[in-house]
Amino acid sequence: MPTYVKLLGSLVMLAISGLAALYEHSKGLQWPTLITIALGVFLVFSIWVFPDVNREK
Amino acid sequence: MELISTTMGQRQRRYRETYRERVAGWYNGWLHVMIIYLAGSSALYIYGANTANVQWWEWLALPFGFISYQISEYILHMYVMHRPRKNVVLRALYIRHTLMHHQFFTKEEMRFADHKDWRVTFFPPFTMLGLTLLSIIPSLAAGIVISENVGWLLMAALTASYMFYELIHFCCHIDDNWLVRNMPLINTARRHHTAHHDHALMMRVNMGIGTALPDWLMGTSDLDCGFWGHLFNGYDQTHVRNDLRRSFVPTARASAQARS
Repeated sequence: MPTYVKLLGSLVMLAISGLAALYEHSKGLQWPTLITIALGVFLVFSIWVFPDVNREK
Repeated sequence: MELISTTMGQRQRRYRETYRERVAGWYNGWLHVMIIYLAGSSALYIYGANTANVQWWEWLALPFGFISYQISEYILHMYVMHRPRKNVVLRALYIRHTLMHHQFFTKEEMRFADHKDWRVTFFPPFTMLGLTLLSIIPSLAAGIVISENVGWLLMAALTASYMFYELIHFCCHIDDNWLVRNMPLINTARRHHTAHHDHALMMRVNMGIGTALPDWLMGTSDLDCGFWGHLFNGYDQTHVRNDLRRSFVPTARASAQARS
C-alpha cells in the first residue's frame, strides 16, 4: 500500500474517530467515547506496522 | 512449510514458495485475525451503544445493510478484483486478488499450509479502516434522513457483514472436515468458491463469496438452480451448468487424496 494512501487514510480515520468521540461525549457515553478513540488509534497503528507483501525480492 | 500430500502442480507450488518469501517473517495469522475481529467487535460495541429505544422497523436496517454489503462485495470482486484498473488502489486490489490469491490457491489445492498463509486470504487492516470510512457516508445519510438508530444499525450491519465474509472466505480455504462439510452456508460457499478458483472460470462465474445469492441474481453462478439451491446446495454437483467447462474438483475429494 503506497505511503500517501496510508497517510491519508490515517488522517481521515483519526479525524472521524475524534469527531465521533466528541459526539459520544456530548451524549454522556463514557465507555464508547474511550473505545472510539482507542479503535481509531489501533486501526491507524495496525495499518502502519502490518507487513506488506513485496512484489520483488 | 508446505502441505505434504497435495494434488497441486509445480507452478502453484513454486508460487506459494515465492509468496511466502515475500511476506515479512514476523507475520502471524492469529494476530491478523485478532486485529480484524477485535477492531470489528469494538466497532459493533460502539454502534450498539449509540442506539436507544429502537423501533421494530429500525431493525430492518440490519438485513438491509448485511445484504447491501454482500452485493457490494460481489460488484467489487467482479469489476475490480478481476479487472486491472489504472487507479493505484484499485490496481492494488487486482494484483492482490487475481495475481496473488488466485495463484496461491487453485481448484487443485485450496488449502492453507499453516497460519502464515492466512496473509493471502484475510484482508489487511487497512480494509477495516476503509470500510468504516465508506460506511459513514450512507449511514450518516440514513441517520439524518430516517433516524439516528437506523444510521448506527446500518454501520453495524456493514461491519458485521464484512466480518461474516472474512469467516466464510477463511472456511473456504481450510482443510475439509465434518463441520465445514455439514455446516449450511459454509459447505455451499466452499463448493461455490472452489469452482471460482478454476482459472478457466474465475473471471466470470461465482463472484459471491459470503453468499452465492448475488451470482444467482446476476446469472453468474455455475449452478442451474433457484434461491434455496444457491443457499443450501452444499457440495452437491447435480445442478452444475453443462455449458461451463466442468473442471471442478471437490475439496472433499482433494482432501481425501491428500490424506491417502
